Amino acid sequence: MALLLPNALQNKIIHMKNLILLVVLTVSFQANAQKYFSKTAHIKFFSHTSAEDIKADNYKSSIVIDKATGVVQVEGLIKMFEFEKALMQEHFNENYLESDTYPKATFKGKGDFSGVNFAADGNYSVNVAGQLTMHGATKDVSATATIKISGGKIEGSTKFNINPIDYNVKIPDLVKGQISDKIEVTVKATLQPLK
Amino acid sequence: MNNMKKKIVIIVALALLAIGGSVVLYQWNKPKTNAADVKPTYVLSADELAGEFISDENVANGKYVKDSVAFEITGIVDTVYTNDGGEDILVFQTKSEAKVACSFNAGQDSGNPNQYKKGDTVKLKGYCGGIDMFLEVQMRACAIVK
Repeated sequence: MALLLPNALQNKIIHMKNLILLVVLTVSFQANAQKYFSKTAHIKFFSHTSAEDIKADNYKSSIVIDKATGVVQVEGLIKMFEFEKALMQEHFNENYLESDTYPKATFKGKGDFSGVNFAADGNYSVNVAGQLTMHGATKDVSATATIKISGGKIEGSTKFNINPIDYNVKIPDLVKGQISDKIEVTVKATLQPLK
Repeated sequence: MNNMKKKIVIIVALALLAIGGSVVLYQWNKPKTNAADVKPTYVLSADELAGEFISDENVANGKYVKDSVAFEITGIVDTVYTNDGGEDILVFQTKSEAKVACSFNAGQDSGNPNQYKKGDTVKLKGYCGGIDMFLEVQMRACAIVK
């Protein structure tokens, strides 16, 4: 049928076809994005003792999840953790985590995200295991991460406990009663496809 | 006489205790401050700061990531937004692949970073927290310099 059409019209049709192909490719490429990230992930440290509760928040943390390989990377700069009290923040940086020398906390691990359909609404639990490096020490950690996809918004979160001693953090006897040996770590992020 | 001496010792001890106690209390409740009134150790452009982290992160960490080192940074705004923690973040674009993301303490008067938009030139003070995996040099406790 194309043969019966004048040349100009034929060219137009070819042009249109290419355009449609391009649009289809772009859309399917976006739906199949393999990496998801956040630059504004929230890492929270929480210590509960009968003496007091202490909380530190870093809302400027990084996370990347590679769906294809299952690799999960999380990173928080120690100095960007905010405490309620200036003095606690000072002690955390200067005495406990020595952030001048060890500026980052990093987690690198793996989980099986192959069953997660990031393009449709749904809730998933994924076991993630890997190494957490902080204050010059590296330890194995594992936790269950929750992925919640609702109306195009992808929210990931997890919670696990760490012991300061495992990361060579020395807490003076004087304040031992105020800082728990079970620090609860929460990570929360709204993830976006990485283009 | 002995009684008199005892009284003086007690009064002096109480006075010292009160002074010591108030120093501890003051330290404990010391408010969080931004870098507004701090004399900067380094006066740099966002380009210069980012460039040093790109060329050698470890050297830049050792030099700049210290609570005792404050900065005055001038740069061109890329974006301004508020994060989930209620902190305003002003991001400087640079000539290198890195950016400089400056955070302002929530609920503190730091010169309203929200008034700026892409392309504006801004001067601010703050402390450096290092560079993250997205190549953003992070600054904290920032305050706009007028």
